Amino acid sequence: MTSVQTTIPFTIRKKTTFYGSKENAQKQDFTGAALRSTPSTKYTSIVKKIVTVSSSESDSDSDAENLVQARGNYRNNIEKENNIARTPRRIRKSSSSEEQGCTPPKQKKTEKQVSPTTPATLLKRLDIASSPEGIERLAPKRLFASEKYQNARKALHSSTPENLPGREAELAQLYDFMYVHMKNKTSGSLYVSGPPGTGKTACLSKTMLHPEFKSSFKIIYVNCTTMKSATTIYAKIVQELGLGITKSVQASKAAIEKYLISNHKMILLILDEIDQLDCKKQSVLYSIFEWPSKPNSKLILVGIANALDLTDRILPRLQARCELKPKLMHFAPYSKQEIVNIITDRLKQADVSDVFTTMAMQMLAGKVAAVSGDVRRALDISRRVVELAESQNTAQVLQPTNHNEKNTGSPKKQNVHVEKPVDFKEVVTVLNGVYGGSQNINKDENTFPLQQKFLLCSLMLILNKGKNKVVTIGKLQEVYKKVCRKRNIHAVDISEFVGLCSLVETRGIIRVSGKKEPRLSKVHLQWDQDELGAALQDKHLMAEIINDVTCL
Amino acid sequence: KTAAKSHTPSSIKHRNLTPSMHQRNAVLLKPTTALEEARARLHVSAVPKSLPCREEEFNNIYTFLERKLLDNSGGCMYISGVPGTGKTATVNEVIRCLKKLVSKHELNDFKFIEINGMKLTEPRQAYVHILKQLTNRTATWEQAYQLLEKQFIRPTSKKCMTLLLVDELDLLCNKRQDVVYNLLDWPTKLNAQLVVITIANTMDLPERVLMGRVTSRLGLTRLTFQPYNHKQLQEIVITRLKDSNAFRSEAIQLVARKVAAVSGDARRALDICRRATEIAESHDAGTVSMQDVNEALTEMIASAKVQAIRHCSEMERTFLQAVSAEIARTGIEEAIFKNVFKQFEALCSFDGVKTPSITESLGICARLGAYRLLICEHSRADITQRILLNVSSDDIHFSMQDISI
Repeated sequence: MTSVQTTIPFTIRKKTTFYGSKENAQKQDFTGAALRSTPSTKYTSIVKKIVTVSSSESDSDSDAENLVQARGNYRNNIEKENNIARTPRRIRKSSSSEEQGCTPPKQKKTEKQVSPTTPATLLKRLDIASSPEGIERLAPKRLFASEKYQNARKALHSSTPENLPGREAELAQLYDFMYVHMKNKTSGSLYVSGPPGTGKTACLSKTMLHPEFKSSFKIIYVNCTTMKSATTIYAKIVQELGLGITKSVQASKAAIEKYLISNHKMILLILDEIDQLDCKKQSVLYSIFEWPSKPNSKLILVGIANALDLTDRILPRLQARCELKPKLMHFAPYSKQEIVNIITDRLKQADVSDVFTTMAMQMLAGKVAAVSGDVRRALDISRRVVELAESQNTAQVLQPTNHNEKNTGSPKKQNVHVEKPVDFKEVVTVLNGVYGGSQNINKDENTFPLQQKFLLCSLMLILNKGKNKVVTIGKLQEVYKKVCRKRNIHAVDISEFVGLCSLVETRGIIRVSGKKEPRLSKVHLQWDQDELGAALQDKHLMAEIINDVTCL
Repeated sequence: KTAAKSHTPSSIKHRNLTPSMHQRNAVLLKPTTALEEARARLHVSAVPKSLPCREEEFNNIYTFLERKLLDNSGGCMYISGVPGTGKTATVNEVIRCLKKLVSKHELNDFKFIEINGMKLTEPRQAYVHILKQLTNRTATWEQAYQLLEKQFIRPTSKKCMTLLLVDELDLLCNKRQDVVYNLLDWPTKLNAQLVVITIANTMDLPERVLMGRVTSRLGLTRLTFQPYNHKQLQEIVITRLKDSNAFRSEAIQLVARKVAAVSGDARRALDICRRATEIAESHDAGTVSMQDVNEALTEMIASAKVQAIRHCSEMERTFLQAVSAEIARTGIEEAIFKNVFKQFEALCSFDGVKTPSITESLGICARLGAYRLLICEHSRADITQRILLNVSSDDIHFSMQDISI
């Protein structure tokens, strides 16, 4: 009986989905056609404008994007070749009313791709290739109002932008350093330090792209985390210099040194995350930092890492000779105003600067600057704030079910008409979620299993009232058993108890050290007791257990 | 023949041959009784169509991924939670829904790649597995890394989004953490179009284990799966059983309450339910009752130690008593064999039994050590070896009392 009952609804469902999808497909086609016919005339004019303004490479992308926007369903399928191939063709058909499907657009495309070979357009293209965000930036001007959040999200993506507000001084310093060495044809070394997310790599890659340097330097950029071990860096540099393939570490090192003393173009060697080159006697780092002082070598060495005093701490011998000592440069964490500038700059470029209210922005930046000054973090939080605001606006549209059939009906068909700027409230919500720490883990619902509560309460009892503060799992279990027996609750045995401890450990509340013999491994409380009390949310039970000295 | 031998590895490497398994000779039987049917549905591997009690998390992940796919931008997400709370199942469900959208042409196509830290012999093998799923090629990890780097960093116009699911992230963290760094650094590149979803158990893994620069790249989009409470576990079991009446409702409730009190692990609840069906079958009962569940629970949450002590020989039990007496006397957890032997002698003469010799007692000690009832040093140290009790002294008393009655 049961089996029959289960199969029947299953098949019916399948049928409905099948028909439903068919109907959907037809409907889509009609809507698409209607949309295509009406707004295409509107948009084509703008597209033409864009074609004149922008370089040739971006136009195919941008107009494809436009039309996609017009269709409504496909928003950003710049990448999917099918759509790109299909949509422009149809539009051109409607505009120029030609009968052949395939050939005319191809011709047009080739024409357009042929045209930019003049030097001026090539230069333009160069610019855009260096800043692919430009393509994105073209889009927002003619989007629906509801696309604002999406643009804001895109603009706040944590990839490197082309201009770096708040780092003008450092950029100038870097430029001066390189310029002096370039003019005098001397070598030098520089060590750039700073906490993560302060724009070290972004600044250097911007300097690297300077046309002046690009022409006069041979630029080698190596991220040292990609190396297998410290010594493989030589082989990598040899490969970048184009000296042929060498077999051993010694041979490649010798080849580089030979190249350095010979007559050569100036080299700009940038080693990112240089602390990964750490090895036993620091021989790799020493020999690399010695290269600039070799006679006749024209090498500018730039090392990037997080530690402020890496060169002093692990390379003390460089202090002995002044010409070996690298110039130090520190990237301070971003201040509040700088973070505000960065975010407003990005939003302004995407033309959505009114997404944030000033108060909300100030609050966000102040909090991030106070904690870490990491701009990745700031961008992340602001992006999440925008996401939160968006999902609050679309909350009714998106059904909270995960039935396969239901969810596939695209949830965002309706355009949201209210797009109010992100306010204080959302920012506070996200910031509390991020920086609230452990308190908000269990805020909504009492999901702490009961036995884990007993475990933690017993631990607190031992730490508060016990004589010996070193708690092993065995001892903890003894107390826990007594606590359970007093409350007429079945206590778990030792093997289960060890598992229980490891479950609590994943929450970061305790740490279990010395895993060799489970019974003897020690338990350390990682949280503050007040914090734990707030997390357990069961004041009554806790107070009862903690003051129960008889269980010890 | 040698030529054929040398050909096979290369054709496996180039994916010309798909690995196949031996077929069964007999046809697999369909479940006939209600209990068998229930057991098949309760199996952990039978992931249901919809995951009950994870709607909120599902929505969170779904909206995150959908937005990333619509935006064509990269990003990372960190999902944490204790085992058996439906992390991987939810992510897979989201991917299935997104794939369905793709097949309806409402979303751009994307590639989905899945690696599991537990399945890799070494963290760097992750590159090999990613490349294999991305381009069907097998290479050494160095080559694989170079190819992936090229794929994700070079700007090419024709590229589709890639979703990368990294399960068991904590196992990819070696000392240099270069693999985690690279996996999380690619999404920040403008052209990568890579979304990385990382799953681990530990809630504070980024702060506890990962380096500052890796944590900075991991970002703050995090989601924690809370353990199930008893209502949710009950709902999970009921939705799996659908309308079959193989279980009595109070039996399900008992399982849910017992499991929710300890760990909130859905796998555990399902396992116990399945064991209960087996027990009910052995009793020739049509439905699973409270008694069956109780039996299964005592079997699975059983304390084997008391049983083990009960089945020890008399001298072994007396020796255990001697150890616990010695610990009670000194107040230190660590006892030395010669002192324990004194207690042992006293206990034996108290019972009126002849005391075994030192060598025999050492043998007893070694046996108990092998059972893991005691933790003792290597017997090379003879009478000076230190002994630790691996069971609580309460357990010893408890099991002794039972026998005397």
